[in-house]
Amino acid sequence: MKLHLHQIEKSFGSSSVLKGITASIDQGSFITLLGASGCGKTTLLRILAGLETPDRGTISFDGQDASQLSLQERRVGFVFQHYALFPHLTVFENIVFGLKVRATREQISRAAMNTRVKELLELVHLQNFADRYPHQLSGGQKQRVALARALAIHPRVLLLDEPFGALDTEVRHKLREELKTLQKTLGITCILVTHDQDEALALSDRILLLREGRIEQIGKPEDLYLNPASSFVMNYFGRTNELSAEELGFSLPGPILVRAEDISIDPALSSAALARLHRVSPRGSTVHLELAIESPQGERTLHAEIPRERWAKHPVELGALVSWRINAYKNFHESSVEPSSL
Amino acid sequence: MTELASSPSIPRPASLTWNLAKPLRANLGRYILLAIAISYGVLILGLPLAVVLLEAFKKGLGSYREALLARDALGAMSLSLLVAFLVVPLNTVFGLAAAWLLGKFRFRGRNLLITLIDLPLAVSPVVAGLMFVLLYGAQSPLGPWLAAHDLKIIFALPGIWLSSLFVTLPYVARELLPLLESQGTELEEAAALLGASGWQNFWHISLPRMKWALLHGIILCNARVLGEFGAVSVVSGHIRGKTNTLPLHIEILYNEYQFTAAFAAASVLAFLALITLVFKRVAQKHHTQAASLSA
Repeated sequence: MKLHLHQIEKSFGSSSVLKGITASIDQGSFITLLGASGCGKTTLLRILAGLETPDRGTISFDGQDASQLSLQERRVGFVFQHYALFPHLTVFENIVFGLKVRATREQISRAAMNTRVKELLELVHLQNFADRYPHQLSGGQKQRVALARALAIHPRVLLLDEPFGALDTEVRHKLREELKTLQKTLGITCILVTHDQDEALALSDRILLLREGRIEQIGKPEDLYLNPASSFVMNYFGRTNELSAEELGFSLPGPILVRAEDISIDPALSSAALARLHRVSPRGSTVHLELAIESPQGERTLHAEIPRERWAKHPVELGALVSWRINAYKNFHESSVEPSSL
Repeated sequence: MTELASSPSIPRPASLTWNLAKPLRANLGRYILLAIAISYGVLILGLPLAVVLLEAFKKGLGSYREALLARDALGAMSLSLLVAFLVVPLNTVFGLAAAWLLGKFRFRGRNLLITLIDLPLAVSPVVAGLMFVLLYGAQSPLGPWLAAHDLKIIFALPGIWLSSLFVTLPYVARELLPLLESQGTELEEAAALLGASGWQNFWHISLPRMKWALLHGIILCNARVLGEFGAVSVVSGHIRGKTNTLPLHIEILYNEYQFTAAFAAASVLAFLALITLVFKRVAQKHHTQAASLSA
């Protein structure tokens, strides 16, 4: 289904949560609403679901005004962060619920319901759990049931509200992969809410980065990483250093932004910029370094992230001097930055 | 010190005596509290109940039976049951609706409504009865009109019914409200998004999750209706065999020095109370179990 949002605004009391959101979402794509807590991403998702009504603006489902549709007619699948499984119903009864309540209106036979539930249980690898109650399942299994339940009604769009937030890392990564595969197999439009940039980068066709109720940038994951529209976007995807252009001898207005991974370290050379190694924290495949650099404003901290192998070959003692280099940087002062939209 | 207290196995000479003394002192305190609780329970709850039963059976099973099968006693019992039958379903429906509204929705005047529901708990039952006399009695503005249309409210069943409704109004709502508030609305939202209508949502999702709390509330409401004395006493008029409920019947017998009969009738209420307690216990057990399961 093709979704179009036009100038969506929403306030709760005196606080304005969404300040004019316009975006289009293509059939079969995976969109992530990314942002810090309080940026309005969950509210936007709830408005798409029909659980909240926008104060202003329109949403269209395949060209049809969504405000004219009842919750039943919208036919959206919704996956809650805390599963929201019906505790008094078994896994089977949970999944069949959406079909059962529509059975009369949509003339779904009992046999068709059974087939559909069986199909979904296989899809989420829970064939042997049909008779269990939610409290007998692990967190990952519960979220699988929730996913199957949402898919049972053949939703036009699948909305997921931080669905992996309550799960531990291993389960989270596994479910993430499964969701991605499932979404591509079924060709269903997915909209995921998360604050986790890794999750957004791993899953999305497009990321919609929200900041205080406005869209900061929409684009492919690599676009947001490589061509951030603002320092906010750049900061959201990894550690960034803000350095004074003047001090570094750049003839640019304003500060320049350098990602930690775009700084490289070499043995100290008197002709190069020097920094003192302050702290070393290994982060798996990379090593995070904190360096102290002298500047007219006093000592400042510089964050650098270098491949583990490189660090292993040329380790530096704490307190020793190293020379450092900037490989790539951004400067957002050249042109005024406007939040791009589709 | 707190660390030591929680791990008494650490061998430290300085704290040895302290460690030995602690469990003893803790146990002593526990025994004292237990003794107080038991003697209080026996004095305030157990003995009176025993006296009721002793007095009731003092003159043997024969006169106990006779007292209960007396025409007025049977009349009082059936009136009490009839009132319960007329009151409990209505207050159940009201309580459900009110708790649903207050528990699942936020709106202006919500706190006022909660206060109103608590009103019967704050007002003395006698005052409650008097309010109905003032509203529908012969001296009231409505009185002449009611008399002209031959409508009897005060000193008749409708009066007893109304005052019982008033007194027991909060029980079901009060029992459900905290539960519904703590449950939130996420499951109802999930069900609605799956396509459930309002009624389907209530019947398949909300009701099953509150059924034990509801049963608990109904049991309390029923017990209160059967035992209500004050409010009913004001509006009933004490017409034997007609407007005497069981508690009123007991009072009359007692005032007439018919102790055996009075206590026999009282024992019926006592038995009802005991049965209620068993039901309540079962409902409560399921209620807490259900709550812990859904958590």
